[in-house]
Amino acid sequence: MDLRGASLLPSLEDTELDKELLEELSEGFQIKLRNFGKDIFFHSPGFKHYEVDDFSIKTGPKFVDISITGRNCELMCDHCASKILWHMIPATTPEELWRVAQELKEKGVDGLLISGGSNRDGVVELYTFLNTMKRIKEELGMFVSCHVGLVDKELAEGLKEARVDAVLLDIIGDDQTIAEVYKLPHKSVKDYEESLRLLKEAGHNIVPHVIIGLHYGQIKGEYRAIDMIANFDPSALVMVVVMPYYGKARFQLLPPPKPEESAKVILHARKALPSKPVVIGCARPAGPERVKFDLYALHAGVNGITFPAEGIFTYAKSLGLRPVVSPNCCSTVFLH
Amino acid sequence: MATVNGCNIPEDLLYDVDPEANAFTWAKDNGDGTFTVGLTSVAAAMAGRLVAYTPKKAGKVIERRKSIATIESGKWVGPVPTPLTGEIVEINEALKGNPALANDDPYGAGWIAKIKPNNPEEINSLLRGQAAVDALTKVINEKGIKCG
Repeated sequence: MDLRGASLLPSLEDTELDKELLEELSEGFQIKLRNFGKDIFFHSPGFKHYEVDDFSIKTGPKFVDISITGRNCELMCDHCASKILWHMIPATTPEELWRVAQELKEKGVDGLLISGGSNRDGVVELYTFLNTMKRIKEELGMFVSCHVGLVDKELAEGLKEARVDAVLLDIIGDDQTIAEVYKLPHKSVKDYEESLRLLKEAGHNIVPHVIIGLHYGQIKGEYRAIDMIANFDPSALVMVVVMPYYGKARFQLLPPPKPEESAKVILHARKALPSKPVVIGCARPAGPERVKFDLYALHAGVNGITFPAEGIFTYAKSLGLRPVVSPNCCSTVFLH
Repeated sequence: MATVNGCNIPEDLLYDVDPEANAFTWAKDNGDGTFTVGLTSVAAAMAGRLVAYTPKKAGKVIERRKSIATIESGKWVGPVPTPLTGEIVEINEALKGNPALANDDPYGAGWIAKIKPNNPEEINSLLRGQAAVDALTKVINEKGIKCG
């Protein structure tokens, strides 16, 4: 398949792409075709209404997010300031989690992402919820993934005993970013590496996330994070891009990385994990920059895109790809 | 101006209100053959604080209830269905830089597009005055919407 002749659809005609970069990205596209074929996943989990001209899911929510801390986060990192928790359904006690899960199951929800704010050591304190998660798995038969922070042996093994289907965690590849953006000067890249090791030793499906532009919009530890993740046999890798309007005032003034810079990080991920799904997660800047980023991501050979920008679904078909639409969280991509 | 649950509803505008079609928009006759269209305070409150506004290109002709722009907040991404069929003659450049204008000033600086309607009959089908206030009040009450 030669992509160099691919032309943009009318809805994307204002988007100017870097032709040299497209040439470079084609290596990723070929890796994807070789190892995964033409299927490409477009996810639209139920925590957000998403409707653009060529893509929407009309069924009710099938996969939703729950926060065990409500909107609270002790870390209040510069890039997020807890806003990622705001759209989640709060369930701050094990009893509430059980009740919420039952109600959601009755409404037709099949999957839960359970997460929450971190404590001052970067840990999401899921310990007291483990028995309830096990009950949700066993009695309600729901898919349960947990987006954790740093983990110790007790939590890694506890999550396994709770039979969670996948463990998600953000991996940071730069000590300065960990200290300054995440407010964890007493932690380092080694601690994130140790969390990956403990989760793999406990036998988990791990789906690490890398946030492009986390260091105040600059690319800094992303390549190291990807290389580190590749050593731990992940079930999938999720790539997201920092969203300045989520962050604290200082962060909101800083532009996210250019889509061209982000595309090179995606290509690196594709090459580092040629036989593991690499997907674009729900968090990334909105508007015209998202269109460009998503186009480059397609050319770089990703396995899926969550909430594709307008025109991307159609463009993927024009590249010869076969769209598979899913109402689930993109971290479930490894199940296919 | 009527105010319901903090949501302003100016009585001098025309309105397209239909929850099934996700239509909660207003239109204003500019007297020069063009109409300014925008989101009602009710629509802006339902969407939440906007972070992106991606309009269709000026010059395009859009059918009534088809999208003239895509708007995005943290919890909602969707189209703005035009209340009138017509050609887009102007998009709101200020809204590109500050999408939340549609929340802060939905009937003023936060307008979505200016269009040149090509079907005068559609103008007569839009709600006005008390009928518009009643239709939006019903939506506000049914969905429990609060503005501000």
